[in-house]
Amino acid sequence: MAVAFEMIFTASDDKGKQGTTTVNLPRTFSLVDYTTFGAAMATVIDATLAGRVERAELCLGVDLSALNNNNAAVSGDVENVGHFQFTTVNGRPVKVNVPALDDSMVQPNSNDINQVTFPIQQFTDAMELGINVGGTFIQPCDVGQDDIIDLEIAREEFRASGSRR
Amino acid sequence: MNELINDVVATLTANGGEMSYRDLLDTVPFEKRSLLTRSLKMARQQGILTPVVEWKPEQGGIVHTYKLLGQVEGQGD
Repeated sequence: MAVAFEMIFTASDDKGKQGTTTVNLPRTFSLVDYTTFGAAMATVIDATLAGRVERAELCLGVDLSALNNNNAAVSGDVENVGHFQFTTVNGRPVKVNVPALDDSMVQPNSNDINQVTFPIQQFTDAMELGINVGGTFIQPCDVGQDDIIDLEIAREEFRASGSRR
Repeated sequence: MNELINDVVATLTANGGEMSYRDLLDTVPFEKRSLLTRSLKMARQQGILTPVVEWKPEQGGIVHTYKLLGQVEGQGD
């Protein structure tokens, strides 16, 4: 059975701390319907708060059962991060972090990611040109929906684990 | 670099205009693979070829190929 979508509302207090409210929704509506519902539900939630509603986000659960070899290796560490910085058609940067980067993707004696390796080249091509899904090309973009066109930086970084937006 | 691009084009042409990135890597010695990647990027910027990433679960998942332009259909700019 397909699981419901989630609408996640983030609220903050006057000290800057944040918490979330999650509302499950049926999968049967359009994106316009969900965004309209989000604004309406944010208003309902806001009326109950002594805090501020910062944002409302729709979370679409994706079936990952088709992934092959999707296993966590003993050597994996989510604090070992592949940091990629792309640029858009309008020259704006887009930063993408990939936790638990495989060490074999990094150049020896360096923190540069080896862009020659098959998985890394596949990742950067997918980010720059998109993926053909059943005849439709979907291409990653920046927050303004401008196409990502080029990779500027690819390096390994170490970051403490925890939720980050 | 133009010579490398010509080599890439010749290799792709000999293989019907497209090859997987993995197979392309296998056509050059290890020490020349970074040059190959740069050649592919330059050729892409010159509009000679393009990488195509496709979701094909019936073929095991992601299919990643490089295609000479004129071989690709249905892709946006």
